[in-house]
Amino acid sequence: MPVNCTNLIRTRRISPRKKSKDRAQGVVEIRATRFLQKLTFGRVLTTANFCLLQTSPPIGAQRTLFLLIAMSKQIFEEDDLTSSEELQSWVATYCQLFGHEFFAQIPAEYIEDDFNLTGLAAIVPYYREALDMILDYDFDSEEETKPADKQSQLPLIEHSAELLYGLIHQRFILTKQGLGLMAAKFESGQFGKCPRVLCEQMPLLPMGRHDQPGKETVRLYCACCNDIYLPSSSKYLNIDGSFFGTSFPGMFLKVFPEVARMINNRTQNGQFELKCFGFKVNEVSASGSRMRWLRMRPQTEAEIAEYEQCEFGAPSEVDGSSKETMVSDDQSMS
Amino acid sequence: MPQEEEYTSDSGSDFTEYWIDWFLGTKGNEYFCDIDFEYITDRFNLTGLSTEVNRISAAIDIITDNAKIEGQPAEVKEQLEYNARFLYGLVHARYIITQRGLAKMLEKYRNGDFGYCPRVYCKLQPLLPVGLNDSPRLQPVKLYCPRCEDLYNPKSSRHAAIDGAFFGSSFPAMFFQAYPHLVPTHPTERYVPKVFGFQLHEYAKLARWQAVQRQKTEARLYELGVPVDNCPGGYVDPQEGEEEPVKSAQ
Ligand SMILES: [Zn+2]
Ligand SMILES: [Zn+2]
Repeated sequence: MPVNCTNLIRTRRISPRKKSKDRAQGVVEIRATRFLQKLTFGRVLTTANFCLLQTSPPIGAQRTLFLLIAMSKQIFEEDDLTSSEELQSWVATYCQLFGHEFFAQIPAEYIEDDFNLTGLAAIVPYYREALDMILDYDFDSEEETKPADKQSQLPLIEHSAELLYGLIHQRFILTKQGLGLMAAKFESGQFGKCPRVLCEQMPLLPMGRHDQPGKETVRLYCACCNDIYLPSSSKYLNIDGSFFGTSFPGMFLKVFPEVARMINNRTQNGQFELKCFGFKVNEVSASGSRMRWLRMRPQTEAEIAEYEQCEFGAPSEVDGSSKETMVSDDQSMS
Repeated sequence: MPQEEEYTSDSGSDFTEYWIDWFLGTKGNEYFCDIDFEYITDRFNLTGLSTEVNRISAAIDIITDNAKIEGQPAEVKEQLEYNARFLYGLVHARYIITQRGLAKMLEKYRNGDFGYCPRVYCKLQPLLPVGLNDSPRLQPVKLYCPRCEDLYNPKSSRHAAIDGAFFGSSFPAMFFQAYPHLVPTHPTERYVPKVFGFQLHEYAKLARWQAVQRQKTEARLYELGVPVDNCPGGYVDPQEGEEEPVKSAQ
């Protein structure tokens, strides 16, 4: 396929806050460099040759050719490691890091839309710089003004970029597109499988118990046993739960009712019961069954009728009587 | 099987080591405890195992370091080693429900050698190994959490491949019969999926019904004179203020 020279240098939409001319120019150059890095040196030459033959004002094309060759030479003569690292966007690199397997890649368009970032500037320090980093905007121009300052702040900005990405992620995975990306990961079991034996390898969903960052690390929700688990690998111990948020599993269940079918096949498995030489442990003993209720589902007609009574609250007869008498009797006993 | 290779490659390397020490030190065998020599050498304890293990006397000799298998051809050696490990496993299931065996497993339980419950509300409750069958070669070992009273798969694939019969189906029940004071309390706290702070209706409904079932159990136990408030085997409610107030709606 012929590559158009003008397309090479074309950049994607630059958001309004990058209006300064120098800045735009910087972004254009960065994009062109990135594109060239993706091509092999040989391909650049053939592309350039092709442009030379195809474009109508030959001098313009020639100048482009020289520019291309000069740029690519410079790039390929540079340290191979640094150039290959720069091939990828910040987002792609971040999502491929060890332990970052749970993250979906947020498209740049979503991040560039200021509406999706409402309120985040107040939570994330170095917000502007962090956003620039996530979007791969170059901040050379600012570096000229205060280089030493910038250099010392870099680790802080990197940390802020991770925080910002996580908080955008929390919102993004609730959108149609985000849910779609997460569903693909769910289906391929990338969030792990439920450790509970009777859940039979049910795929899990990442979630947080808080929407504010810094409170707790990521937890995993199993729709089959309706419970939450710690990730099995310690590599997820530094992933903040708020980067997935409290609403994600609930939203997922609402949007993909087919998950319910996966659950129904598994809830027929019954429950585990502790046995001693084939006999059930007596309920009266301390190790007797006390947690059956947690995994119970209404089966018999009476149970289903009782379940229907729970529509808008616990049925009062059971709720009131047992608890209250127990408390009062307890006091009289002691 | 990769594990088989590892056993055989490790075994010849250290002549001075006891077989049991080598076995317990092999990666993947962390769930096993050290069986007393006297227990293994007492034929009474091995009653019925000769039908399960080929050449049981040779296997006993290997376990008790009474036989050198170095001179044997590789296949024979491997078979003998396999028999020895298999016998050790079956004897282990019997040993860990004896008084001494239970005490050794208690130490391992306290060390967290069997791992911790992955369920968030169980707050890192140590687990106990359990078999779903007492006959070998049927199902691998599972882990029992006494807090949520449920079964979990071991995290590591090495552990997940161990025969469940090497621990037996009665072990956790025997363990807590021997140490009733160690039965943990059961948290009543549970998870209900939420969207923007609102619980999903169907799930909230099921949770309410399940809470009714728990209250029934509490009431029944109370009738029987069994204490159920914050004591071994009793219930604990979530600490106040820990759980955010939940808006109940669609
Ligand atoms: Zn589950
Ligand atoms: Zn548990």
